[in-house]
Amino acid sequence: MLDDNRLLRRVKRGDRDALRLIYEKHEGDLLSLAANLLHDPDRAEDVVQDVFVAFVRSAPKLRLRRTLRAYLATAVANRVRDHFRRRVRRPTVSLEDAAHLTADVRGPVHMVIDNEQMHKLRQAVGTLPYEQREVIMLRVHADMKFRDIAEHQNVSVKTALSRYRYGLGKLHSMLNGEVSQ
Amino acid sequence: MRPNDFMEEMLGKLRYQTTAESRRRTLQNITDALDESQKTLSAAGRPQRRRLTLNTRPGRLALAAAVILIVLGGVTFWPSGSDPGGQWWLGPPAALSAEILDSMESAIGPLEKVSVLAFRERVAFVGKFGSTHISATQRRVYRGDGLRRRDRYYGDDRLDQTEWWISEGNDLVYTSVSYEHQCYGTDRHEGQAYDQDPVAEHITSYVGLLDRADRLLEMREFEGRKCVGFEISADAYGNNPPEWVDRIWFDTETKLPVRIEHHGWPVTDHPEQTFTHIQDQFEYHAEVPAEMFAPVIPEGFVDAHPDEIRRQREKLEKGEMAVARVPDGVKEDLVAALDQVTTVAYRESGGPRVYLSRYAWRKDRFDGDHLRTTEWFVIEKKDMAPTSLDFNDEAFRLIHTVLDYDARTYRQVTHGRETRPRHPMDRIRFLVGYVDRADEILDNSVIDGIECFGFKLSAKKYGSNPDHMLHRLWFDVTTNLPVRMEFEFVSESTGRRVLDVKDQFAWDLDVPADFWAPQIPPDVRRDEAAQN
Repeated sequence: MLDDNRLLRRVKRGDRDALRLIYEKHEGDLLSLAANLLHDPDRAEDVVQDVFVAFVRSAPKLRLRRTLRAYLATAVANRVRDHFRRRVRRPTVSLEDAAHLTADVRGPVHMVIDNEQMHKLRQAVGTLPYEQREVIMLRVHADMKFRDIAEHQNVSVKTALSRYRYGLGKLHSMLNGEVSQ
Repeated sequence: MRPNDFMEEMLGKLRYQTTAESRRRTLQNITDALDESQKTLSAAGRPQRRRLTLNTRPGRLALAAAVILIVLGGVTFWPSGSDPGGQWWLGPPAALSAEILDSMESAIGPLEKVSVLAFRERVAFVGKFGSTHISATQRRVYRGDGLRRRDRYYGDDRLDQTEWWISEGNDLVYTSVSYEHQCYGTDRHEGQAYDQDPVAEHITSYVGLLDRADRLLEMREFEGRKCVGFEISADAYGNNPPEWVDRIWFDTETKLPVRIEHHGWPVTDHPEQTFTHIQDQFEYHAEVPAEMFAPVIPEGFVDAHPDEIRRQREKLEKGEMAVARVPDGVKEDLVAALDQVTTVAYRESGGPRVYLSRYAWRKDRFDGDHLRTTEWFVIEKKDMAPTSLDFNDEAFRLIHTVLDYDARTYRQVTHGRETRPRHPMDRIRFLVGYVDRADEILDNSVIDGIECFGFKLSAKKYGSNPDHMLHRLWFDVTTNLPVRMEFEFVSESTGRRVLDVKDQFAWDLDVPADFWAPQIPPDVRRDEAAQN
């Protein structure tokens, strides 16, 4: 398989096939990352599309400091933060209406393993403080290094690590006995 | 297997997928974006060449000149490069936010340990054509992790409302107490707890925006501190309209944020104006007692919305209010018509002729056909946000010049933000903004040969205005622009009924460029006694 740097060089020249390869390689991880961060699978699809559109627009000037996967994952996390920030800043519908709008509407995005255990895990993840959830998901679904996650969150590596451990510990105690080995 | 390893494995299985059709559609959209970006790229060859010239000596000199311009006036870019002479704000924008956060942590300790952040919030309403007014209320906000309190003061010290937002598990519980109306309200928002927005996140989110700043602003002094400002379009960090603009000001010494401004936000039900939201007087680690975050409902207060109490009180004091059924969208059409015009002229109460443009207006007074005086009002719009006149700023200046043609004298007065006269277009737009709450829709009539529709509005509906204050507004059925505006009231000094009329409107005037600037003939002397 062609490595990402080579594909990126081709995308810079406008190569659609290279872009397709990058999309197919990373789309699944990014969608899972966005859905878990947002706790809203349908919006996750928009986030992933926005990230790829922004990526192709900035590709000509893009110089990767990390892996392309980490770059795209960080972009997803930034979009999700923007989404929450906008929601806090200027709700366009009332909170009750928003809850109504997002409930019970099944879109094309769904869980790969759709069983009760996974639903419980999903619910538990949704209750984690956002910073902890973000560290965990960037680590698990984007395989990012703690150093890079810490930089993204503007905190020390130690803080990122402790958020990760606290988050996992909290999930474990919340799901104690309900999700079995 | 260790518990955390098992949990990691389970989380790895928490994966999502979409349908093949949905993937195909997304791929199509992003390849279209790629094609589009390639087209833009090929059309942008010239800037590449221009950048190359900066490597030459004349190019470097031009760059140095640009740096000076940026410091003096605010230009829409700033150079990337090393920090020249301690001016950290001229460094590469991408590095600024990290640098500022480091600096903040040196000054106030780890951001995650900021227990309570306190700041002041103020709001200014801004007419699209000119400046309007600062709200008489200000709010003091206290934010902790998972909780928030906001005290609203009328003026500087009269506390008239307190609100609390407290996270309880996954839910957010809102409590509001109105001291003025002696009522309270509570509400629970399920799943809306503040976990996603802790204090440290609140601080870093704004500082982080610097990476996307569009413009470095001129130096200003706020709260006795020399500050440097950055301007960011709100569409740079979200799906926001481009007319929303944020400005963040930092202390040049400590790098701490001193003032955050949001410009151009819409006002609900009032398309004729926007508002500017200002946060300042930041206190990190504010020392407040824990009980400040525990809602307290004073004894005897009733469970009701303040608006409802106000309505009941006004009904008792003022009687039943007449409300006409103004069709939806009429007000928006009238405001949209006003948005399109750039200049206006009208006659004021059968006398002076008034001319308005966005940053200047003038008033010509006649004695018959003889022009007696001209008044010019010119707003200095130095470095103002694109969506407002930024009148709230110390830098706001309005120069009022009065030329007396008969006495051959002129006088000039400079107004600051406290004493400035209101832009007349604001008054017009303000009244149009209340059309949807008119008492009565008037019969169509022909005024100055123009077919008009009209509304009657009584001012008594609002605040402490007396019964006899009335407005009648007529608009052209074709253009939706005002044709005649009447204001009827009883003079307090004479007890007589007075009728102020604006009529003979003309729009988008064909006037020379110097029409809006004071024109003082050489033989006219300055009336020194009248200067400020």
